Amino acid sequence: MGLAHPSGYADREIVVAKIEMDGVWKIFPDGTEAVKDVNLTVEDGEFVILVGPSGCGKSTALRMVAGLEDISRGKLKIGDEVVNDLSPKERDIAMVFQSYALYPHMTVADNMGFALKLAKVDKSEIDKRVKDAADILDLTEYLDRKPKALSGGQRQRVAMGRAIVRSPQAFLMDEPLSNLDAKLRVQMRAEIAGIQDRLGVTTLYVTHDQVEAMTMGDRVAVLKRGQLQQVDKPQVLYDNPDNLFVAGFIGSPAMNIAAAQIERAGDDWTVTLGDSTLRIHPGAIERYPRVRDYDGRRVAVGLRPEHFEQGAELPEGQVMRGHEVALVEMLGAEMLVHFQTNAAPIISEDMREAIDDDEAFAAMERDAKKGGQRFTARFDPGDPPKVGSTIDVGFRTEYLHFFDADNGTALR
Amino acid sequence: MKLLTALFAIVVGVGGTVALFYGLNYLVEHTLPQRMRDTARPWVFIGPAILIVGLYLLFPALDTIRRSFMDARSTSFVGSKNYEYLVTDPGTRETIWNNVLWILVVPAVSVAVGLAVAVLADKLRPKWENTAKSLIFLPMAISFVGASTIWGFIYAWRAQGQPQIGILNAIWTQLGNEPVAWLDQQQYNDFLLMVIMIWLQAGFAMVLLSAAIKNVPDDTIEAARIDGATEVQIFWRVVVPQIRSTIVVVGTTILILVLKVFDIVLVMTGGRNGTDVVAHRFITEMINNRQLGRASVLVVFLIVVTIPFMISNIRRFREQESAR
Repeated sequence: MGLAHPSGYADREIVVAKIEMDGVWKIFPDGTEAVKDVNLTVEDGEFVILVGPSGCGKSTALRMVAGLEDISRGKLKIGDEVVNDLSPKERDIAMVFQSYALYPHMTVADNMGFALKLAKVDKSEIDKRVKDAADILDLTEYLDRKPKALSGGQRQRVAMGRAIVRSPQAFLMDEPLSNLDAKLRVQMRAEIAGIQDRLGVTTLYVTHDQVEAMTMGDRVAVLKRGQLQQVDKPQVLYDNPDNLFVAGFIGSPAMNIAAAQIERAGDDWTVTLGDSTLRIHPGAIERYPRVRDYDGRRVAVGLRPEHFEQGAELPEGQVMRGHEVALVEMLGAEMLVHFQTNAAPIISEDMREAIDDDEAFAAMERDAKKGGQRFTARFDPGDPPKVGSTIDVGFRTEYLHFFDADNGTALR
Repeated sequence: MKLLTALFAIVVGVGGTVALFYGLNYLVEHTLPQRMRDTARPWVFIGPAILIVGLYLLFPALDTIRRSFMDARSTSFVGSKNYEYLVTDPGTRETIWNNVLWILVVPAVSVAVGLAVAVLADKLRPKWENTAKSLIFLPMAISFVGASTIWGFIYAWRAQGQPQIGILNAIWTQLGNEPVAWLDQQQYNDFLLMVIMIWLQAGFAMVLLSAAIKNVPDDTIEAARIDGATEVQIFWRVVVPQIRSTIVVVGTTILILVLKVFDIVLVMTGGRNGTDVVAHRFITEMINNRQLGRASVLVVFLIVVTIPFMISNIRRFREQESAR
């Protein structure tokens, strides 16, 4: 597919290609299965984010697309060609590394032009393309500097420039923002998304940061332990997670997930978490129809922090009463209230992976032994409740999520 | 009795040093005003070392320069006569030319061999890598004299008909040739001596270069691979430039060693058959010929030639340090 290029960059036509992973496996010599049967297609010009906790195989998957790792099983296509046995060079892709991997002995211009030089492109053409890319990235005045003399953000841009200059069939990015400080990361997030949009190059972007996943991509692919969990638009992923792992992993602060009991009372359905019983809104049942099969059974219920309501103005059946405030975080535009419940946490492999922090998971296990866990609610800023005081918290039950407590699948 | 003397010397030597530093520190603490103490203290500790280095190194060097302008017994001033001898005497000129050959060949070949082994060993599995590197490094533990003796056996020559004890001649005669007195062959005997030095120094080069290669970030190599570089291009355009400073330091270090080469020539040929080098020549002039003036000129020449390389080495080293 050929895209006429936006003006201001170059008059070249950019050829982009779709990337297709078809039942791809990575099995290391020691038997570790890093990537298991992944089926993922990145369409022409699409920006797909591959996200997952550390050690989930996302970087390995990307490196297989790049040709830096062999593919143990399955087929990888770029364009319509199977590229399993092609070298990185023959795949015509560009990659941005986490550490930027700039050549320290070359100037910025030489770094960006290296691939073209190797491809024996005319010197004048290289200069032109490097200059164009430098314009896009605001690097013009640094072209003669060595990477050592650049700031982290500038180095990151050079790494981007090196990819752009080649006008490859696809960009591959391996956590390109994780070495930047928080403020710069926000800025570069927008910038990379903007550049990708302008150039329209097929992009596969790996990150462990679910905020990057939510904000940057056209679609997000969630990976856990080498297995693809769900691939969808960010908002769909957020609103309709397929399983407990996706529910717990996507969203910050994370979804509150607890064990609960479903009961039927005439036409009404209720869910009981610890001491509180909530009436399930019919809308929630519509989204999770299999809840009806769980009468009298244990499920995992999910409550997003922003769906709590301060105070008890909501009708009975939508309020959780008498919870002790454990911690209040005032964030200016919002306020996070952590409160103690006696709802049992779900202790499972899904949750461990979703939390992606062994210490936090251990704390949750301790909470489970004590018979309760903390919930986080996001409120508009205002009078903060006192730590140690007891509050009533409302919840808009149309936003409840339900999962099978044992295998973690959504009750859809 | 000797043991007692030695013990006494150690006790007095070490104790005296401790007492000296302690005493000087005491003086600083108790006689100087507060403000000057911090300025004075480093000098108190580094001063004796500077003094001793000055006494045993700088003074003889200056004295050598003085003697280079005097006659054979350092009794009368002869102006630049010794220097004229340095440039006009055919024997001396040949000696200097030999040194130039050593400088051109040994550092370059040592670095090349060291680099080749480092790169190839890097591709082996760790166990074999260490074995290979240990073998190459082993000669480093042998002194120049020892190594020369070993290679003396390799190059040994016996008249035709007698059993050849030298491995080179043993092979050569097995192939149906007449035995060759290798070290008498003026066209290439210099190079046969250089082989010994290379054998000794390649291991040193390899160890430093191997460490430098392992320090090259893998992802720059992977980035080059994605940029479309072949393995050969990656080596020359990505790896070598990143270890350039190590290559230069190793090269100049070996070069300085080469300038001082003496033992190999003394043991193997004694400087005969056109194999003499400056450091050996100056010993001959001083001890055998009793020509103090000429010997001094040769030393001055050596010092002058070495200085630029020393300076560049120190500068490189500092750059490396500051880059860290």
